[in-house]
Amino acid sequence: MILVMVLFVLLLIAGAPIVFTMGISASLVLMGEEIPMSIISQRLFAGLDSFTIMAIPFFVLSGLLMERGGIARRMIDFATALVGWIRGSLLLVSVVSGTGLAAVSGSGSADTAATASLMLPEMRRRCYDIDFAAGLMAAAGSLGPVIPPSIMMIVLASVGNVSVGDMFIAGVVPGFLMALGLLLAGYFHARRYGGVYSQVQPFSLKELGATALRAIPAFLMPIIIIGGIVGGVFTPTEAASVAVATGLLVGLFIYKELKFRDLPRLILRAASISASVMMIIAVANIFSWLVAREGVPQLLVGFLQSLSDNPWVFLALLNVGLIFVGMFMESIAAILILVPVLMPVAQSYGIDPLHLGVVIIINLSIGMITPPYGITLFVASSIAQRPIMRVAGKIILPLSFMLAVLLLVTYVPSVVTALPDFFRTR
Amino acid sequence: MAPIVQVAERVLHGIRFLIAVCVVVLFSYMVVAILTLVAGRYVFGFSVAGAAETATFAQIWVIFLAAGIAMREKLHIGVDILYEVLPDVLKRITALFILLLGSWFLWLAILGSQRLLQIGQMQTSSALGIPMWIPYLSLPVGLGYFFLEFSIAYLKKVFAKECADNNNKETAL
Repeated sequence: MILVMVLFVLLLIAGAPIVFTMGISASLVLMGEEIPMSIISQRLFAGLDSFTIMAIPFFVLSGLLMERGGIARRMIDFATALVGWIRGSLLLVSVVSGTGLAAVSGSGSADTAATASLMLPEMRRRCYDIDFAAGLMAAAGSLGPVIPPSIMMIVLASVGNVSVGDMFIAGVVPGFLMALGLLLAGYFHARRYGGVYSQVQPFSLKELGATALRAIPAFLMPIIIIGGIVGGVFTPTEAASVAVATGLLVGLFIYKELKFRDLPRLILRAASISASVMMIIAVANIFSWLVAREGVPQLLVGFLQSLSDNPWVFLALLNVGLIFVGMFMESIAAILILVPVLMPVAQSYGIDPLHLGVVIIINLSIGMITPPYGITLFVASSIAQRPIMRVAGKIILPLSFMLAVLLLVTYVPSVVTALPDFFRTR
Repeated sequence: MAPIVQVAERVLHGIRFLIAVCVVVLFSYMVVAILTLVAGRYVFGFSVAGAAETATFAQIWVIFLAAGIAMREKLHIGVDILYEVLPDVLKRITALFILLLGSWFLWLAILGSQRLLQIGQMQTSSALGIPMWIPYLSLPVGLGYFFLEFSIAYLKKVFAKECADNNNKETAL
């Protein structure tokens, strides 16, 4: 087993795709335990034989349709009219746009790419600190998994036996608190470094109204998805297919920036992005099966309860552990391996599964901006054409606000559970 | 270029085109099937039997087939910070190591799918009674294509004149 773990780490740092890192390690364990190898193909198939996770390719496609269909630009226009009059305007605009895009797509890296490509040229022209700006945009992009719809939440809900709809609603308040924190980070930075950040545009109610009107079709997306799921009209998968239809209608007939000839390429792109995520789900299914077979959750419950029976201590250990994991592991893989183990442990401490789910998601979203494996950090640095470590060096201020929200969410569970409880009682 | 290489390239191009067409058609079917499911329930007042089942089977085919496309487009996630700073020789050795172990894993998965195909000849799906070998066939076909693209990508890394990642940038359609 130790040899397999060493090989896992070796493959991981050698740059092997996560699918192979996990698949090879799991196969070696199967071989060592003399379990029939046909279990590999059975678990791979079972991992994808799920109606719920079909929401993933649909949300990826709807995000691509929205991006190609002109939504990002209209979202930025609206954000500029909303906060462009405050000092450090472009920093705040990029946070508001990132938050808005998080509410229409399921992928943090796509949101970061869209915001960074559109905002950075103007930031450069105004001589903003590009390393800080790229770090802030990476942080705003990492809100994608926390603010619904979220691919990470769909995966977590499906392996943790939690309602996807409840997870989505539970992420709303923490997501907006994190967005508020990032706005404050941008504002404090602008206040501290004055000068270049003082160029703003005057506030105009007329302009705000006009840009809001143009962005209405974009705002329809979260209303349809969240409203549909909360209202019991759709399942998350159905809501995701309706999001695709909305994206098509908006892009083809309202904004008219999408062409029919673009569709095969976008569908193919959505399929290959989804495959890169869902193959991890399929392979992790072998891992989860092994973890359950070996009784790892029971062993962990025993070990942790021998340390402390206090849930707050468990949550503190969990946060430290998950931030560490998020620094080195791809988030979906981490969820698939850890959630089946952590859910029963958390329940033994009396922790609400929704609360645990959101704590895990926030931790892993923080992992998206922390090196060495910070996916939105990679995207923002690459678009800004700045070295990753320089951008990472400027991430401390936004990161500290995100950590503050994590602590709040961890130790005040009602921040997470109040909204789902409210909707359940209605 | 040798004629055999030209033929191999044409065959590869043909396979890639066919896979891309299948993926686009099956993905489109998934969207239409689920929208029909919703429309059937709320607009026409009837339930479309089996739409969810066939869409799920289409999803399985899409993901296994698109795994190869994702390999070609370098979308499979990995942590390559260390790999990028390795000297050229070590990069080649690392790539060969990953190629051998990865091929072993895919081979095991493809081999294991034979057993599923045998079972699938006796099984049918719960809603529409579709023979289960149809969805199970996605495993050897999809993983076979994944193996092809994986081998091409890593052989390029092993034998490239310069080990810098020089995969072509052509898109899949």
